Amino acid sequence: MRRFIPSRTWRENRKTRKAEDNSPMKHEEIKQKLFALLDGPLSEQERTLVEKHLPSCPECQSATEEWKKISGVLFTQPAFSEAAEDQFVSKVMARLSTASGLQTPAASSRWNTLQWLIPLAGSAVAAAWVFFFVLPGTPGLSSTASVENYFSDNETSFSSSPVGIVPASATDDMVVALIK
Amino acid sequence: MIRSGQTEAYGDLVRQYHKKVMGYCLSMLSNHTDAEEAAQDIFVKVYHSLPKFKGDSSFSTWLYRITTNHCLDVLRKRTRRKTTSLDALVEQDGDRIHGLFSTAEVAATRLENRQLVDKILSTLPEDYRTILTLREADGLEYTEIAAVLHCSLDAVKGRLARARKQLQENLRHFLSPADVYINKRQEKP
Repeated sequence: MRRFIPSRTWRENRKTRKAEDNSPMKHEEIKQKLFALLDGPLSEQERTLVEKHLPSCPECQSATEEWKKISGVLFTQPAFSEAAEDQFVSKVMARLSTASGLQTPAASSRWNTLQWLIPLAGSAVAAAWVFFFVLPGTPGLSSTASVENYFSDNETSFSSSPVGIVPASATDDMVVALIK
Repeated sequence: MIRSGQTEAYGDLVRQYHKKVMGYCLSMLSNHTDAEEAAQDIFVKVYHSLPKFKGDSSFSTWLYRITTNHCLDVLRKRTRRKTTSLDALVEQDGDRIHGLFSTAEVAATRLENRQLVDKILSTLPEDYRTILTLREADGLEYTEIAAVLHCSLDAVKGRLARARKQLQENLRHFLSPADVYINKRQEKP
């Protein structure tokens, strides 16, 4: 059996490849991708690159271990017992029944709108009274000021901003069926 | 079903998402009482907002968005809460934090440690705390985080990287070998 004797060129190429793998630029690039490896969204090629680099780089290894420790201590969620879950559901349902007499969401939504409209209508009547009956008798004020002008200038302040709905990445069919 | 008044169905929905919402609230608020109250408020709010949910988007994304906004509101309303400075944290709780990271077991669920965790996380800006909670505590993918926070994928990657860097930087002395932390304490007059 012939022994493999590496040629000078082969040795040099290998040396260059090794140097490239641990060069500061390569290392920095890979370091940027370290967390992406933990999070998951790496292409197969990138994953191979990072996984190949990791065993030979103590700095990257320590950064990964350090983050795993931080995440474990600061972001570990406690387990909830079934009893705690039942109790929580009961509390929410009790709050819903006392707050709105368990109306349908649409009805309670209409009531919520009305709750805002009542004081708004009251304020509008008060403002109209001031504009039509109080201000015309006040010297130095222009008689051309009108309620319409006032509200058209300020109508943007009455626009509501509904809860934003974002495009779905995956639809929760079961939940949607439950809601409908 | 829920929209037509079958409220028991809403109970099932609450049960299904209880762990996610409660866990998220705990990570954000680090206080069991506050977290439970916030989680209840969120489910009441969600019930009343159901007519606005069109069903053409992910329900969990919509729920996370409401949850995130509510938790941020609670954090802002906490009068006693102020951003803890890093120096004050090291001065007051240095030994305890060092202990927290030196034990092998994950002890963050204990009540006294929860308060300490809250102090550590309150050294971060709110947006960093939010994105780290979504990723680390709830395990949301980058695309889901982008949908919840209504920002681009690149913004998620960038903010997450900055948040991690800052948290690591803040905890540098507690994660290094013990002598580094002890030396830092001795440096102080």
